Amino acid sequence: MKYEQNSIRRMRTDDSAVGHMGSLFQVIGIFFIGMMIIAFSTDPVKLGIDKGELPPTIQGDAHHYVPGSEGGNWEKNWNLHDHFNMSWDAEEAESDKWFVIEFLDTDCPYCWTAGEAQSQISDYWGDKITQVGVVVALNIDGHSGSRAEIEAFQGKLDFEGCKTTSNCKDRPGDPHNFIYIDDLDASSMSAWNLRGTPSCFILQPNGLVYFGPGQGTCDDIPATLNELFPIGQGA
Amino acid sequence: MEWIFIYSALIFCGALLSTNLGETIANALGASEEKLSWMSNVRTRKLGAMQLMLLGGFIASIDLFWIQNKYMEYSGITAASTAMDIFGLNFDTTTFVGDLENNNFFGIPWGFGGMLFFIIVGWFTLSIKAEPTASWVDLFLKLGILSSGFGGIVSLYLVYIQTFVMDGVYSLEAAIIQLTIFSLLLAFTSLQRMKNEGIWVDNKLDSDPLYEKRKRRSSGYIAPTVDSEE
Repeated sequence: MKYEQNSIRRMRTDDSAVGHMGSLFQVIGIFFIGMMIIAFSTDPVKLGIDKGELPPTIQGDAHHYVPGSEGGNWEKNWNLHDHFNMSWDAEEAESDKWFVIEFLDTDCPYCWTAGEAQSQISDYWGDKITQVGVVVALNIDGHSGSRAEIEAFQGKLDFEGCKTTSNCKDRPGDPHNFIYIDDLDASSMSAWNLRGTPSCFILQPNGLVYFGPGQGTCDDIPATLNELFPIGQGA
Repeated sequence: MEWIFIYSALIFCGALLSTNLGETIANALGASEEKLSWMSNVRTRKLGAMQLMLLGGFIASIDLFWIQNKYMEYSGITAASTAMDIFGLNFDTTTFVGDLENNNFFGIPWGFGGMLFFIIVGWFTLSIKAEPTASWVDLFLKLGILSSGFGGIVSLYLVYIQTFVMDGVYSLEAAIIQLTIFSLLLAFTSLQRMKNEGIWVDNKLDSDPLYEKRKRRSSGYIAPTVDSEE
């Protein structure tokens, strides 16, 4: 008797599940058909910082260097992605500017030295590229950052504290007349999943990575730019 | 662009049939137990109407996700999508999907989110339609209301993003999806009201719960669900 009751209960339960389990399989089937249509008819780029991928944005206040000025001026909420031309066509739009991005720490000795190369890049290819310095403060003893130090490092101003104990006016190279982004909280650097500075990238006008740490170091940037825009050939 | 007419028509018909006008339309079409039987009963008509809306919303979501993926191919060619002014509002899907910061909801593209939503709500609806007298129907109705309510809140959030963050850039495809979500919320609420008021079960339609299954299955054992069948 008890066995019969259990069987009936089980049958009842099983049958009751037929409705929603059958429907579940139906909707999963429809979902996969939809996904297959998308997968077979489109081929979107991946998000990331490897060659050919679309990097996360860089967002923060941007400092513009003004020659002869002690402070320059700050632009609120500069966003890298706003500057991409997503419909850029390499064959048709040669006038669109590429991007050279350097993540740097004003206390990092390598970034200090790279200041000269960045000046040269600006001199040689300034009309072909948009150069961006993204300033972070690495979590290392003796490294600290501030807006005043960013301005001083960029403009080679009289300020003690660059490269930990040096005066910013002694930085190699000229004052950098490209923008510096305040990323002292390292939010953009974290989004890019970077571990140290300097880290350099070349992005196409549509934002896709052309050159990154996977292709070489910051020292290789001038050579790569020279391949893209040979010096003396219209640069 | 052609697809938009197809899913808009499906959603419009579904939304119309789920209202009180649905009965007038059913009568005009001569719906009866023999002809268009799903329209002859309030419950089955509403559930059928919801299926139309769900199918339309799902195709609209695929369309939006497809446009975004096509745009993200970076082929230098922008995908065909709608761009027009309606009531002074700027509906431009290409600009909408091209905003890399706002074309997703916590990393989920809006179109893909729509697909997931319609699949989940579709599961509730199809289940209720298949077994309207099952014990779990009440739970599924509540889940339907909750899901649609959540979808409605997310839709309002998207409107906020489009209005204030994207400075008035709207997407016609997204707007159609948003309207469908609100229509589904109303339909689920209406079904729950029917259930609460005790007009859910139609004695004639639901007197033989195995009838529909026998029609579907030509053979095989069909387990009883109520004591009288045992």
